[in-house]
Amino acid sequence: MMRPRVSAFAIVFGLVISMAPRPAGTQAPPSNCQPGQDLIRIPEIRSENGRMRAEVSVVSGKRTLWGSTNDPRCIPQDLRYFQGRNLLPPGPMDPAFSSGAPIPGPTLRARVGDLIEIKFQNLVDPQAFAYSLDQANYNPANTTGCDEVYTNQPPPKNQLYPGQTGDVMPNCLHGSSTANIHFHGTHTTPNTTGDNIMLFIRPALRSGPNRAATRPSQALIDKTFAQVWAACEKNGTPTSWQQLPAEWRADQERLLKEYDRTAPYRGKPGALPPDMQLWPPNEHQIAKGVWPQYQLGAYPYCFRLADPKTNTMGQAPGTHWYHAHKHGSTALNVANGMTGVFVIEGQYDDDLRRFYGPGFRDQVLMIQQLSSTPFPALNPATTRPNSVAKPQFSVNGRLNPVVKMRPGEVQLWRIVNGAFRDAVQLQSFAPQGGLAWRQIAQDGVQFIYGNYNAPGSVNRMVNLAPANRVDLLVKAPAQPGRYTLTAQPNEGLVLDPNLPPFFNLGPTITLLTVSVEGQAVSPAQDFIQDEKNFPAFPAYLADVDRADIKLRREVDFGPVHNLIDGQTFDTNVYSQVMRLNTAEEWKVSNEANDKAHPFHIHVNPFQITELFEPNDKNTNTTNPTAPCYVDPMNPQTWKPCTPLPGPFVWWDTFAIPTGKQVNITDVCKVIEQCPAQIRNHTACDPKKATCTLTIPGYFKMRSRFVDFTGTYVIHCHILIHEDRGMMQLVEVVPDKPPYVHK
Amino acid sequence: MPFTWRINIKANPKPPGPAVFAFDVNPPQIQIGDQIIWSNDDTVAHFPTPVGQSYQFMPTQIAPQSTSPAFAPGTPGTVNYVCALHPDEKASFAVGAAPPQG
Repeated sequence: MMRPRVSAFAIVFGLVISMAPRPAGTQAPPSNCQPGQDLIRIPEIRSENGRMRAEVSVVSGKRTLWGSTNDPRCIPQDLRYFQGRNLLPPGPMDPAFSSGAPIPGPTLRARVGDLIEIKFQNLVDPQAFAYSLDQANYNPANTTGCDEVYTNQPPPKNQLYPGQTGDVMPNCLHGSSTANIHFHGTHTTPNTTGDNIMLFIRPALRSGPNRAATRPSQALIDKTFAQVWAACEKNGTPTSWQQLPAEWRADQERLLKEYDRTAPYRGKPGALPPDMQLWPPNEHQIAKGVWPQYQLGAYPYCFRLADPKTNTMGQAPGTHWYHAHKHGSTALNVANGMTGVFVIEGQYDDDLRRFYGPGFRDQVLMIQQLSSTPFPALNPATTRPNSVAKPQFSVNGRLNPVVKMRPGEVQLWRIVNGAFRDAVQLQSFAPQGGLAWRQIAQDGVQFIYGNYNAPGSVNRMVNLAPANRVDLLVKAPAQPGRYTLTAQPNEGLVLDPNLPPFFNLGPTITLLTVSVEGQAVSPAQDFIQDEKNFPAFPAYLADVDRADIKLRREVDFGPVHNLIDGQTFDTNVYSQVMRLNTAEEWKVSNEANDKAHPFHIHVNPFQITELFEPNDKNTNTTNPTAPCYVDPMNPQTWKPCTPLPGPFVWWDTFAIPTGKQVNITDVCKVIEQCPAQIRNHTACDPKKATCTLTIPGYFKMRSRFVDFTGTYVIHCHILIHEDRGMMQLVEVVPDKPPYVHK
Repeated sequence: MPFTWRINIKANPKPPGPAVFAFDVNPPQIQIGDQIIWSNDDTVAHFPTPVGQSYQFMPTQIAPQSTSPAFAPGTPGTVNYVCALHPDEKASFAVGAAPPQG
């Protein structure tokens, strides 16, 4: 550890903490930053009898974090994080949440078809965090609203952020104490009290010398939320704000007006300009019959996990997750730890337990990159010519934790990549020949037996882009031993080979350790080897057939971090509109050659049916006489050599293959001279008289837009990209007009 | 990954003395690239300002019961500062070199 320094001010004010020696014979508790400690099992909240009722709060407090690689500091940081408890019946808050370890929020464990009722509270004290506004002034003459970071340079170089980044509202970092929950992987309504990420749930107001909070009273919350949930159980998710109890609506109006009246702005209290206030947009939305976006202090989530008996497509049973998804602060909130695993059980779990027996254990493993700042490259001081300080990967709030298995045991590992920026490839256990794995599900959707049993499926490397999940059956050897899981952090495994060395993959890491110990399982367990023992595959997750495709569309990510189809996120535009009960095929391309932007769509999963990786070593871009030549001058040839075999895998997040740049200066030196068919993919530098063509990587996916109409989003799951504009609003509209002509 | 340090501004418990600047985590180990914020817990505005420098930590004063934007020091050394609204309020912090990047 670095020797602690004592600042001059601390000496002046006598604030030096006594560093008294520890009494002989006692040991210091292991530092939270010390790798190799036991895995923390995250407290769980389970549904019962078809219903989950839970309290999930975002709170603020000190949690100890480690530095990036080579930074040995271990320091308590102010973080905003989830904690929670069961409300059926009301239980205590697990002390693990206040232990100082940066664990994820409670694991929610429900079942397909269950009703989910969550008392969400925002109890963050914004006084612990940098000033951060919720709503910007949209007056173009006033760009305030973005978070600001300054450094010790004279103006104008003193503003690091937004500074020269070009970020403007709403596509900049802002409003970081405001929160909501995205139930990632759920097939449910995106509206009102469902998976509604348009919500901005403000923290309780705090003022006065003792920072007392002004918020909805617990009595009011409990009374009115019980009413909301009772109505939700009876009638389904509310469709109109007027359906919420009048007492609750009136109190929200009172609190939001109080915020507008008192919020500080530019160093003065109560000076918020009218167009930065929160109640006016709510009032406007309510008048238009739209669910209001701004809420204060608490919110009553209520939605059902689609039951296949009553929906076209049921909720896939599997490993899903939940995380904060407030535009402008998603990266920072997820970096702080506002994540949790959402296990949705079903026939899949019943069948696995039937085969492996009642002692079958699952390990819930949340991978994170925890940090109190979202943007390591922001400060030039943290960026070197060939390196950026990146946050380390942790699992369940610990570095390289130890997972325990019994000799001969098979466990189900539910792995979530909840990192806010990087992918991680699970490579191998060392020493080899002991532990083995087989993937059985992707992004919360179980494999069909043919994919589980494909050649090379044992110990096949899996790359988890941010938000990806995998379920692995992990088999321990019959003898005790200790194994490490090697992983490769990345922003895309296959990047343009012409990129400078800065983009080369860094060193591998040890993500976790497995200790095989204790009494052996007898007889030793094995992978499922026979299809008749494999979890039954739900009929509603059958492949989307080509013949069912009603519409094809193209979506283009990049070439820079904040663009989809050449535009930053526009809150006033539906970029894609789909008809309910139709299937579509999308070609999703990546113009960037240095990052495999992870595409994510809410509510409905999709199947990858075609994959083109121009930077793959097997893609022929150089030899016109060899088969499958990808001719830079002919976009018709920019496609894969071999089709993907079915059955297809379901995903909800997929890293788009990177594009490949080709210098075509010998063909043209200004854009007007370039062949028309490649002009849309070419950039020319008039000063240097050079032109570069990008052959985009892409995938094609098929999805069914069924069961739920409403507004939601597609975006890059490198969350700092999403916050800065790499997102689009989409809407699923009814397939039939409500009018009759008889 | 950079760390964030919070300096609380508290009313002097023995008025009329100056308000107190106090790190929330002490002793601080600030390094280049970290971020510092000031949290004004007082009932009046304060305006931490570096002494004898051509830059500012923040563009405006901090409203009571509010916080500053982040300041990310880019050079090592000791930084002396004062409240521009209350010249008796003085403090300083030390900034160490950045760790080597992995």
